[in-house]
Amino acid sequence: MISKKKNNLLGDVIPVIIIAVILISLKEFKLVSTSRLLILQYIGLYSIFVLGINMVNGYLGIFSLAHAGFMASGAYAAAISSRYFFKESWMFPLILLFGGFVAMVIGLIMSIPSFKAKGDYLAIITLGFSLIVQSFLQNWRFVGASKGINNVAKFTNIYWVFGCLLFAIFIVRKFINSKYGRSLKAIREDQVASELVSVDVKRAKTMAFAVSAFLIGIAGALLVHLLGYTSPSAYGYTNIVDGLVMVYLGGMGSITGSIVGATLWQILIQTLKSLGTWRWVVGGGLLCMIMIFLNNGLFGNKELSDAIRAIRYYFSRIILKKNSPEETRK
Amino acid sequence: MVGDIPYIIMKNKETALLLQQFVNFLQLGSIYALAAISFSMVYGIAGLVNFAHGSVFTIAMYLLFYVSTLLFKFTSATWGVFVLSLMIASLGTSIVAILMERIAYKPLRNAPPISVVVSSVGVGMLLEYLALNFAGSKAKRMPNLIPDVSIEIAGTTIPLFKIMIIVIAIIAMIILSLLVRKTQLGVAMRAVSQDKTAAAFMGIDSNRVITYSFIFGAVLATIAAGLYGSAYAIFAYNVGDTINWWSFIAAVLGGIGSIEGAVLGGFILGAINVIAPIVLPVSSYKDIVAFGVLIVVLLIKPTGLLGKSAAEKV
Amino acid sequence: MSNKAIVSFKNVCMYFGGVKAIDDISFDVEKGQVFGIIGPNGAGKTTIFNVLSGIYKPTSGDIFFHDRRINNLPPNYITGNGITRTFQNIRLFEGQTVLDNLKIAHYSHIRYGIMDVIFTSNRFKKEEKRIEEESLAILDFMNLTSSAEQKAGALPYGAQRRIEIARALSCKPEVLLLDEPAAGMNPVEIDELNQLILKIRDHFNLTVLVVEHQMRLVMEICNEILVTNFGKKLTIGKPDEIKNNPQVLEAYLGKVK
Repeated sequence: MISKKKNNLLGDVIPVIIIAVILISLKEFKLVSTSRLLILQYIGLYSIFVLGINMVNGYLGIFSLAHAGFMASGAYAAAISSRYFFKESWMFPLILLFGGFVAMVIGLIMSIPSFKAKGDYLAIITLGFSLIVQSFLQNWRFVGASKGINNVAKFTNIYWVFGCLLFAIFIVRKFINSKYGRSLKAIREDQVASELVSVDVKRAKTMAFAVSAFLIGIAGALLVHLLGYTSPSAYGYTNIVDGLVMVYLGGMGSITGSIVGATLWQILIQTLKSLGTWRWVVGGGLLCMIMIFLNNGLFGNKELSDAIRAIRYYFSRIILKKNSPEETRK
Repeated sequence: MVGDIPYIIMKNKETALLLQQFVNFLQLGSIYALAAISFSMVYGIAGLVNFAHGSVFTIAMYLLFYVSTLLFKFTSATWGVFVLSLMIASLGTSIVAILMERIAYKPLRNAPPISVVVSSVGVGMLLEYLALNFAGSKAKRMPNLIPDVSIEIAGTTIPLFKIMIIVIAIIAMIILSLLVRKTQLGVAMRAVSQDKTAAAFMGIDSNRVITYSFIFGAVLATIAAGLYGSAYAIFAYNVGDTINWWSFIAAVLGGIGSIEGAVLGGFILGAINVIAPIVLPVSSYKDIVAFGVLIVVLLIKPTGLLGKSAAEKV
Repeated sequence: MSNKAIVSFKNVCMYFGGVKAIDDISFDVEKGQVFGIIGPNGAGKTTIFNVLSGIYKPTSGDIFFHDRRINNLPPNYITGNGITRTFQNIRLFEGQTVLDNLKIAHYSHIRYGIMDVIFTSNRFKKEEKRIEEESLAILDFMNLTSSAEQKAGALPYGAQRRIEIARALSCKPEVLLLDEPAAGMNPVEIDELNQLILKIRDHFNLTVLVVEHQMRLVMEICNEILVTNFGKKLTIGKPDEIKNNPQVLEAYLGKVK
């Protein structure tokens, strides 16, 4: 038991320290250009976004398109709060939490249709939700209607982004390794059988949507305070597809996959920026290709730790073979 | 979209207003119904919610626009241009639909159902932005495809195109339902929609039937696009989004896969679109009303108004 | 209704449109019994399980569990509070390990909340440890320890049947419903299954209801048998009485002229 605990500590704390050191050296000693640093921040905040989507689309296995709506509500709530209530930079955590909580409340409401409606019907309801949020914001004068909100304080920096990412990974990992996470995976495989082994399906779905929307809301809040402005057009069809590409590229139901998916796609998008609107043609085509050739995404539902374990196992086998060639023969 | 200025000359104010709104409702309802059928058709037979269907509609709009503009340079016979450009555009969208099915959906027939849906989201994006890149983001104006004359009904003057839209839509629906009910292909389609494996055992080539359903869907979408273009001439590259969204709701409301359901759903949405702006202060909140109706219906009957409710076997 | 009855049906009907899947069925099951339900195909046997476990709400009539009416309770509540079932066609979580299959089924009696999860409280650790131990104990009892870490879907049919029973036991039931547990088994395997069912009943202090076609199982271990035909109750009695009942023979073999 003790050795296992130590191992966990090593596995958890050391990467965090390494990441922190890299980030500080990148930012404070200006090892990379500002534009590269910006890409790094996009990667971080979209990783949070994808982790959130993965909660519902990956672990729970529901094809939901509500993420654009959640992100919009988180972003707008945070922008309003920083404009009217939390004006100081030290209040940024409150702003982020506020964005997250507003999105979470909406997420709780959006979980209700998922109790009864299934599959394609639910996809359409959630798509409707996202488009409704967008059209609502386009008509709401208080938030600038279709012009959106400008001059939002730029509180976001790379520390906040990666701090939030660590927090998101922490939450998702805890959640997945509890009875709630187990029941999500059970529902994904067979909802009726889950109910008949006492899993409270409604509660599990509610929680998945709440956690998902919370994380997506935080990502939205970070995005607004990174760009300094927001408008309804950012939360439409392109945003929905963006999220889907990242989730399915990385792999459904994998934390590592979420981060890898977000990283690859953001790097690709930034490199393709010169293509203008053609990049959405590339994006759409890529999404198809992923589904056809890479059905489970890069990581499937595996984690980095699984890969490490497999490698370790492989090497231990080789060492064993060297030591006792007789034994392995049978 | 709905708030277009009705050029009905009012004689008796009350009846004229009522009649004019009623015609608006029928016109919009029949366009939605047609779009919803075209969407529902593919769903019922291929078992796929085709998120790329809106892009087929967009492509139909552009094809109609370019072909009819070209044709009007040589002739001024409006009806002739209308029919000819509809045919050419149908051919074009059919090819797009077949390619789409072959390349993006067919390889995924044995994959988990979600993969095909995701793939269709990708195809939709790809086609929509292809249209944007080729045609530009500036809005286009569809030439008049139906002669610009008016007729008089009950002392009220109504433009001919409104009546023709309704008539053409109804004819298209009747032809379709005859096709599905009476022809051998229709029987095969219904068989495949109910049970692919059993249909295969009866010697039905389900791949061929699915291809036909995509062609039917594309042709119907083109007709819907022609009618939509006649009703609201101005359009841009994202025209498919809106129409796709409304036909989704209509199809789901009525019960996906059911033709009668799609028609019912289409007319319910037409009614919402006409009534909501009168009752509500902001006209674009009609989206929210439609969405609300959809949610309520799905919560009460998860498979839509006329959808078959399949009890899960344990 | 006798006081000893743990499960009782009172004039239960279940109609699907015009189809009368169950038509006016009443019976009592006493605690500790192995209660068999037999009948030709389409006699409504599985439907009895479906209404009992809450998947369907009966059209009319009442179902009691410990004198409590359970007609309108959701399935997960009924399962978590004492009536658990297995399925005719095995429904395991095939992508999960055998151990996780059992852990999932512990859901209803894990006592921690979302806050315990986020802060990894002592209660969380204690509960997770407890269910791990309990699951391993059940696997041990069912002779499945060696496959604990394997994917459930990758195991052979016989093992999957046993895992399903193990998973049902993880819900800590008082009443276990077995839906055709002997389907596809040969006589030797059935004899083993008979021993297993009796062993489970005694070890976990259960009442067992079993739907089955295999007379070898039913006649051997059931204390009482309900015979249904076309959704109606034909008769109820001890195995010996059933064996010689002319009505039952007629239902199975057709009318003797």
